[in-house]
Amino acid sequence: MAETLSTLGVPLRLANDDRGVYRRSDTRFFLFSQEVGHLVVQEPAKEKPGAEAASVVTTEISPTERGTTPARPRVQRVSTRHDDRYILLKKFEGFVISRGERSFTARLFENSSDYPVVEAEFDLEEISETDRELAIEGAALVWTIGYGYDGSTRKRESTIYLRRLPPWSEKEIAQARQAASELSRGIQWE
Amino acid sequence: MPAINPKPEAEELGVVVVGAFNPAIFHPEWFLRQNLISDQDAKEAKVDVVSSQVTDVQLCGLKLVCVSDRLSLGTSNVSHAARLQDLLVQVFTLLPHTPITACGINPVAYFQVGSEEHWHKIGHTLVPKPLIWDELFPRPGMQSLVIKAPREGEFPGQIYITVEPLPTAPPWGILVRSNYHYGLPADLVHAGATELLLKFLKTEWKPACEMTRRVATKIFEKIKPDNG
Repeated sequence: MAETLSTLGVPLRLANDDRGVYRRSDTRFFLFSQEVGHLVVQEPAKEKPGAEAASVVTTEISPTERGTTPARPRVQRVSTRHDDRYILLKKFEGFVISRGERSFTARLFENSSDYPVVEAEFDLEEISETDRELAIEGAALVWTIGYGYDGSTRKRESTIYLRRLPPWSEKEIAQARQAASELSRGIQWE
Repeated sequence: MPAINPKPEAEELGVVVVGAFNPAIFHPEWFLRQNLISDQDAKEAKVDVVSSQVTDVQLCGLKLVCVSDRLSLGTSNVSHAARLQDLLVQVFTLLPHTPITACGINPVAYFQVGSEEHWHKIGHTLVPKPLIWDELFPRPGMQSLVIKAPREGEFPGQIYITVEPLPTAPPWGILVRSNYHYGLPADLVHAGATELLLKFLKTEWKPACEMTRRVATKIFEKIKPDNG
């Protein structure tokens, strides 16, 4: 998705211009309608070589030193875009139901209404070394299959991601229990 | 007749959180020390700038940009979508007193259209030209269409859908953007905002992320090529 050139104007703003933080609620764009723009960042000027004494970090503020380091404006290009094209073909969510020495088995579904659900066994080698300790019974995971790009070369990718969500809070557990209870009461058994 | 299920040729996903932030926090080292990313992830992270005013880093296939009043986390590889959600949830679980005013979950998807005729038909159907535009200009064309729809339920807000033609040469295509916007209640900005934000991110994630595909499915289902 190539960037669109625009003659609407150069989006430029001060990085610390936080006026309207509690008024502007627009979340459609980060800062710029074209999603690429430039921020003016105020950075303290670097000390000249040889001025070691002046570069010592101190918490003391003397009247002569206060404000004597001029802020140097620097224009920083900011883009929230991440160029890494990928075409998603299939996505399964699920959780680990058992783990062996060299593999683990997961129950997977594309949609929450899927029935029967699919079970698949994966080699532990399919996931990175750091993720292997996460593959324990009950761990949530996402399995995606898609096309990634390496320049103009298309490659098929299979990615298993073990989720890193914080544990449920007591409040969330209570709410889930209540929701399950209400659902259970709502079922009309024949 | 089989259901129409258009496959995007490219997708992006971004989340923008509006509030009050300290951009300098978001260095890969901080994520590592909080056990949010691995050593390897931290080593592979790319830091463009980390300062008190702006932070722009790439880690775990995600791009994080933060200034004092907003935080954005995005990816153009949607296989990282779950990672993006997890990282946001982890960050705001660790920073529970962050004042938050709004959050938008913003997927973008690009769909190819088979022919120029079908591409024009989509534009003319979404924005009819005869009544107004044809009388004003020669060959007017839709450049961008934005639809705003209110959203009710536990997290009331707005959904902004943008449809744009791309590009003006083969392969013909359309870009569908969605902004699943949630403005948090003003009285919760300093008390309970992150708790509500976390619930929003967990509960509304799936419908928000599927919005562009849902819109595209409806467009291709209702506006078919003339020979189709």
